[in-house]
Amino acid sequence: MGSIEFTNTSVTYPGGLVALKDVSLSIDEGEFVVVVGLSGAGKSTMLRAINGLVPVSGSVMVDGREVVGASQSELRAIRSDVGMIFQTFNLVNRSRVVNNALMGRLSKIPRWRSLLGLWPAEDKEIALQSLERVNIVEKAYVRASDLSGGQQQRVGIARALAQEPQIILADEPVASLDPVTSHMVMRDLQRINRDLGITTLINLHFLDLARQYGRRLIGLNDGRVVFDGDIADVDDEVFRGIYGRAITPDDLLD
Amino acid sequence: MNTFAPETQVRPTEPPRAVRYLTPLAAGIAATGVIGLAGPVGPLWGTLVGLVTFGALFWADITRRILDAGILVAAGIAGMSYFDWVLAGRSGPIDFKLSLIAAVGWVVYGAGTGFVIHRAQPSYRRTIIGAQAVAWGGGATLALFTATAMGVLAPLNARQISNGDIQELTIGLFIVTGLAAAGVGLGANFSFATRLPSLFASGLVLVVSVMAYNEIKFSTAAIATQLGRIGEIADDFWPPVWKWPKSLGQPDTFNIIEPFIETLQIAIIGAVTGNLLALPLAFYASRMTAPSNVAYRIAKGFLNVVRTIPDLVWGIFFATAVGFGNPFAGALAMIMFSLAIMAKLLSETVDAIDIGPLEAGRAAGARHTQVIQYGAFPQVKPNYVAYALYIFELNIRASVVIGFVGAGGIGRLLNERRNFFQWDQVMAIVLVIFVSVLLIEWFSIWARRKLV
Ligand SMILES: Nc1ncnc2c1ncn2[C@@H]1O[C@H](COP(=O)(O)OP(=O)(O)OP(=O)(O)O)[C@@H](O)[C@H]1O
Ligand SMILES: [Mg+2]
Repeated sequence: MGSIEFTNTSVTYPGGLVALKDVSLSIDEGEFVVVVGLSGAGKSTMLRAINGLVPVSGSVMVDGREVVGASQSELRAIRSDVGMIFQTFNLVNRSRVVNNALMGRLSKIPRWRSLLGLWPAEDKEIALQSLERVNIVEKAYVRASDLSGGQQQRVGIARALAQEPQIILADEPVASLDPVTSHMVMRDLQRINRDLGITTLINLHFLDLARQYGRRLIGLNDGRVVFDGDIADVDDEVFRGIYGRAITPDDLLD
Repeated sequence: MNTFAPETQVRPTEPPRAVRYLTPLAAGIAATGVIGLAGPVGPLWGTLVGLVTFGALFWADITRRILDAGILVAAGIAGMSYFDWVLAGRSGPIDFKLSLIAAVGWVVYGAGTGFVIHRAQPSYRRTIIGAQAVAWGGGATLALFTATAMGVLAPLNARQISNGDIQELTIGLFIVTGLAAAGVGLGANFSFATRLPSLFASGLVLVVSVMAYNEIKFSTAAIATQLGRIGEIADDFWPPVWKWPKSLGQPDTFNIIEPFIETLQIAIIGAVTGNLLALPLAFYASRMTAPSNVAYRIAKGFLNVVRTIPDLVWGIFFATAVGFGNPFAGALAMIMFSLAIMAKLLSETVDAIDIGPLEAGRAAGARHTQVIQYGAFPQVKPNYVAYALYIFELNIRASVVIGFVGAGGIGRLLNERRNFFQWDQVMAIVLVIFVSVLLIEWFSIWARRKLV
């Protein structure tokens, strides 16, 4: 439950750009992994390979299910077990918070129910509980656009949690938040990983955030894995391997 | 080891939403509409209406109690039996007055519906009882009138079918226009594919302008002559005459109201059906939400063809197909007219939406239709409502005009009076149209401002 296995995985975008090159690694159930790298190194691409949002070759196994070559319905089944959190939140701004959280339940209810908007009581309950888990339930009936950035990201997390996922993929979840809010959101994610045992992969820009919250670090450079190990082992040399230069204050949040 | 405590958080109660007031209304009007078309009424239909209403209330999460279903079914049987009793005792065709009397049964039933809603959700205002009553009464009247006008209820109201010659002629006209439209659509697609749109467009405009100038024999002298006769023309038209005999030897009556309601119905049916059909089409016709490239091209191509056929031609086509003077023809023409406009406007709005929520939906394992319904549609909903009201305005005007070509409604009456050279009666009809279009436009502008 919640394991990920890359074997000679590559991602080639239409147009020929190879954004992920022959990656092989495995992530165990319940791990908290931080992925770092320069802009364009392929961090987002690596995350999207896991839920099949990008054209992927080689092999990606999610909980023993193969993503490469999966049919549409197999892909939906895999995706429904993998929650995703986005840098720009990707909420439906005009919809209420609770409806945004309910989007995480879409794959779990029959088609006729979603068409008529007839949500089963259990699914509403799960959505509200997800909101409670990130302390935002009092805004359940407020429009998403009326929330602050940090609150919106918590709704984004609640939407992922509503899927009752085995894996959470967070693509730079704090990049558009201020430092204080960033720490709050990171703590939320850490707590969810600890309490619910959900395997968590997070792309981060800031190295100190990675150090503070991560255990395992994966460093990407030009689509290749150049570091994969304990975050405590990251020294200047490793850093240079990932970023091609020494640490500067710009790489730190605070 | 929870570092947080969900049990200390206070869950807000869900506030009532406007759509929840509207759901039973919409279901009620739809149900009476269907029943009005089906003709014979009675306790069986009453049971059905009660159950449909309960279904709507169930959906809107207002009540899920069996007792409420019982109340609604009982009220439905009572309302329907009264309705049946009025219609069974009628002595002539079903007209506006009789419809109003029969609709009282529905006013009572509507009040019952409102009572059930208020009982189940005390947070809903008491005025909901009145609102439901009025809407059901209105819905029933409208349904009955539609059924009458379309000749479903009684052979008394049947209209004569046109003769074969005219049919052939108009079908021919339709085919020619359709082919021309398809040609233009293909030409436009071709020119875009070859990246020579400007060349194609300027050539087309040039050719058409030259042709038009030749055809019309544009003359300022004619305008001047007519302007000199303005006093003479005004004498013919003023004062308006409101009443005239329906046919030879009958007393003077006010004959505008029935065809006017017919026009209103044509516009409503056209706008509602067309706008609903346009909804899936619009999402197919936008690259943002089309399920595949093939679906996109088919939807876009279909819309290009439908859009190039003018409303008048649709009117002629359907009048030929279902019978001259039949308002059903007008309704069908207005459906195509509304569909074309809505699908174009909406698909262009969809082109500009934020794709973030769509990606989030897809990443959560949702189906394509679910992604559209929950990720894309909420983003364009205010635009959809605004366009729908705007199209309703357009429909009122357009359905007057298509009456001229045999599609029913007030246009038919206008054309008839004009053929008799009764200019003062024409003036009365024009005034009715003018005032009502103005009122509907005001209402529409007000509603758009409220809703958006
Ligand atoms: N949809 C796409 N089509 C074609 N190329 C793409 C697409 N998405 C990303 N790329 C390219 O793939 C490479 C890796 O992109 P990716 O988004 O994975 O980088 P990233 O590490 O997430 O960068 P950032 O920190 O800026 O988000 C980049 O060169 C990018 O231009
Ligand atoms: Mg990225």
